[in-house]
Amino acid sequence: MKNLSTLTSDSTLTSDKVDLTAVYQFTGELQLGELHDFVILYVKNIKQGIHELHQAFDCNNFEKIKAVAHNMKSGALYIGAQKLSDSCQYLEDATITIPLEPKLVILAGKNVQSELNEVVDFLETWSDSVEAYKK
Amino acid sequence: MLKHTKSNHIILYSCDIDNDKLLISILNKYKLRVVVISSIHDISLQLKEDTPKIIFIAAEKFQETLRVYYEALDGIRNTLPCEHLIVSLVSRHDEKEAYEAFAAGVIDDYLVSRPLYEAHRPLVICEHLLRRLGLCFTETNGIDFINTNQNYSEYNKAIIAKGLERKDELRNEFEQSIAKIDQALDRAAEQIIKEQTANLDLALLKNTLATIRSDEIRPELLKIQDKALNLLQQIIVNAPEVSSDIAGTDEIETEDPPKNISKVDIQSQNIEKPKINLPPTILIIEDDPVSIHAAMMLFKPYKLNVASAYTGRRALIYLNQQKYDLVLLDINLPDTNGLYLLDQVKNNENPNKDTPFIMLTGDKNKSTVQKAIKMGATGYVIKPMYKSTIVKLFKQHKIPLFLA
Repeated sequence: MKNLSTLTSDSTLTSDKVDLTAVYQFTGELQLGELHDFVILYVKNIKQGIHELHQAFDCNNFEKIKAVAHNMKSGALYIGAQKLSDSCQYLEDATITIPLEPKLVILAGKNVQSELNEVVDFLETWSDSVEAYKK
Repeated sequence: MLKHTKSNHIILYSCDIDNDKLLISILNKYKLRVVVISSIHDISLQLKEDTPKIIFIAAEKFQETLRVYYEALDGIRNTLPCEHLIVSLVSRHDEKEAYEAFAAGVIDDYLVSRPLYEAHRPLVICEHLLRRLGLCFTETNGIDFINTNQNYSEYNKAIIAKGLERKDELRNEFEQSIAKIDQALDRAAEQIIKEQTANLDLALLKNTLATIRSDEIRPELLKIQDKALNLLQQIIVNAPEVSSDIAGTDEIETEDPPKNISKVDIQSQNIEKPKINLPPTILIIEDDPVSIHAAMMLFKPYKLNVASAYTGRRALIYLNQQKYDLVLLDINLPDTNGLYLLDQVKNNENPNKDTPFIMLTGDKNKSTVQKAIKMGATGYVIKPMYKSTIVKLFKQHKIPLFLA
């Protein structure tokens, strides 16, 4: 079980994909519990986004792909996931390229998915540590 | 600080009064009257009474003390409870659990009372909790204490007396400085509310705070004062500073609008702006729950009435119902877009016709933002909303940010 100082130390709040300390720029000071609630909400939201993205790809709905990528792009900045934000920007741009290149959109989508996997993995691991600490 | 009176400030809930006789007798010995009750309904009644109080709750297990209290609180769901603090009476076995509940803010204190190991601990608890309620029952007189203790050596008495004197001096200086700062802040706040320019020597106040901080007295109060000062600094009306902010702000931008209206003109329109509700009322129209959640956490420390709407339809209902001091409006909404909503408000009879609207946008899509400005939006913010951006935004619209 990790202790509180470990859970809130900069080294545990960051990885090469995520920087949870970024949250404070948007919310002001937070207690560990509040940060945890925020992360849980973020993960829930991002999973919904992933689901919508998959559906949009299944239907070749490029408008929807663009909208989901657009939302994920700014949302990623809350948790300091700059690479995810950049990959979403790339996907969004790919959907408005004229003429549209489906292969480019699919490639950009795979890139986003890869970033999302790492981000969600990190957040869930961190969240589990907090849960364990609470117990 | 009020001197403790015979009012019913100490309540004890206990179903087995024999177990708590010692506790009651100690409190009584120090002239603390204890009202003993034995039903949850009685706790609810006590919570309804205006007198601030400390409620000791005894039960078989610690978790039962929580249930009893929260059940009583739930019993007066539609009534505002009096100011009160909760102390759980626990066995040594439950001490760790009680501490964790205390640390998490579930209770205000706890006392290992089954059995009562430290006879005077209940008095210490009452003392600090009554102080939190703005009451006290002991006189602080350290000199009397050392003089009445005959077994203390003269040398020790002299050392302690000297230290106590020094502490008194520091306390007096502290009280005077805080009173001075309080008065200055109050004056400035009143002037801001009246839309007058507030004159406040911030440098002097900062120096006073810095001096007090070095004495390390009552750090929490100092922190609050310091924050209040920072906030005040942000909202004090200073015309030249506002103009330069507008020109230099990157995140909040007032786009060059049509009709040859300059950025400064927009700001001067804002300066003549309307009376602000107290507390100010803000509406966030945004479909992203994470953004709403972040904004709510950001606004939490301040005295603001914040409403949020996830859809355009819900937003329109709110906008038709009441006047807001500021509306943050996302351009992309699930059932409509922000531009349509803005058009509905600005071009129809609506209480928010003159309310400043700030567009929330994921990027600097110039055409959409330009369109929004043409339609009457005051500016736009690139999402996500940074805390510093929001503070600037409030300053720009002269909306006071007071700590709650």
